[in-house]
Amino acid sequence: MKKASIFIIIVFIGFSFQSSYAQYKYEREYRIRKSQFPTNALEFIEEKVTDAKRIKFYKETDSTKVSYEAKLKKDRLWYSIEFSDEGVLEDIEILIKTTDIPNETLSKIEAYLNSHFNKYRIKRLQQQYPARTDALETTLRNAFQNLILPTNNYEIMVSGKKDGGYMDYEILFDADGNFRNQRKSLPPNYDHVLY
Amino acid sequence: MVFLVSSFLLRSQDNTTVYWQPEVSLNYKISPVYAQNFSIANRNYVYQNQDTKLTVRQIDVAHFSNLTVDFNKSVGLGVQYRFRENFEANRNNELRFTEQFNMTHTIRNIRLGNRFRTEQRITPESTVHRFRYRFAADLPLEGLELDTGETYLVLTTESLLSVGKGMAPMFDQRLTTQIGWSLPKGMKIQVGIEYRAEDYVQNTEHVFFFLNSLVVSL
Repeated sequence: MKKASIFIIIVFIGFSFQSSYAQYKYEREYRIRKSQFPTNALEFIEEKVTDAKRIKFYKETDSTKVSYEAKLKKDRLWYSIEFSDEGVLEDIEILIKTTDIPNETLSKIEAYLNSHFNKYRIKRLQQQYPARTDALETTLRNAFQNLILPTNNYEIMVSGKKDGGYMDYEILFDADGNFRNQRKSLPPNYDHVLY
Repeated sequence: MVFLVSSFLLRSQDNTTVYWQPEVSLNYKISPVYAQNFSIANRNYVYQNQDTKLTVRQIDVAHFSNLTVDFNKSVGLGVQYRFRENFEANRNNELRFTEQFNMTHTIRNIRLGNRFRTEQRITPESTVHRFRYRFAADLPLEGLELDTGETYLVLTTESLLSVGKGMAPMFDQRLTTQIGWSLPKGMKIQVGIEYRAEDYVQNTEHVFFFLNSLVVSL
C-alpha cells in the first residue's frame, strides 16, 4: 500500500509541474482553433482564398512578437499565409522543390551552403511572397499564380554539419540567391525516445 | 487504455502478467556528435497468476553511448546490469551488452525511426543472443514542432528473436504507446502502456506494462 501511495505522489508531482510552468512564457508554435484566429485575417482568407483544402491554424509566439499562420492546400500546392498579431498579412509561402528555383539562383544558394557547411541536406524549401502593404491583392494573385518575381525570397530549412556537429538552420535568400539572414535553430530535443 | 487492460484481465488465464515500471534517465552530450545516457528502472508485479499485488521484480541500471554518424543516423553501445536475485528466489542477475544502429526519417511533423539492436544477455546459467527491430513514430500534439510546455505522442512496435544454446528460438512482439510532456530545462515526463506477446510461436504469454518515466537532458 505504501508503494501505491508513492505512485500517486509521483503522478501528482507530474501534474503540478504542468500547472506551475504554464505561467511562464516560452517561444512556441501551436495549433489553434479557427475561432482563435484574428477575425480580419480569417475574413481575408475566406474572401480571397477559394478552393482551399485542409486548412489549419497556428499561433507563434516569441519574446518579441506574436504571429498567426494558416496552412492550406490549394491547386495541389501547400501554402502558408502569415499574419501579424493585428491580423495584417505579412507574407505567403509555397512549399517547393529545388527544381522550382531558377538555375542561376539555385547555384548561388548551393555555393553559399557548400561554403558554410561541410555537408548539408535541405529539409524544407519555401518560396516566399512578402506582403506589399499598398497592394495586398497583387501579393495574393502573385502567390497563387506562383510567379517567379524579383521581390520573392527563398526560405530554406537545412540540416548542416559544421564544427563537428549536426544542426538545423533556417536561412533566407533573395530572388537572386543572395544571402539575407540566418536563424540558427537547434534540432528538436528528441531524448525521450532513446535513439 | 486502462479499461482495455482491465477487461482483458477479467478474461485472462495464468499466462497474463501486468507490471508497473517507473524509470529515470539522464542524457548529456560529451561532444556535438557523442552523447551518453544513464538510466535506472524498476519493474514491479501488479498482477500475476490471477492475483493483484505490488512486489518488486528487478532493478535495471544502464549506460548507453551514442554516436551520430550522419544526418539522422547513429550507432550506439550499451551495458546494463539487472538486479533480480535480491527480489526473487531462484533468479539470477543479468549483465547485458547492446549494440544498435538507428535511422530516422521525418515526414512533415512525424518522425519515424528504425532501430536495429543485437544483445547478449549473460547470466551464470547461459548467454542468450537477442535480435531486435523497432519501428517508432513520434509527433508533437500541439502544432508542428515540439516546444517547451507541449505534449507529444510516441508509438512503437518491436519484433524480437532470442536464441541460445539449449533453448528453442523465442519470438516476441511489443506494442507501446506513450504520451509525454516537455518541461522546462530539458525535462520530460512520460506515461504509457505497453503490450508484449512473448514467445508467441510456442506458448504465448500476455504481458502489460504501465510505464512512467522522467527524462532529464543536461
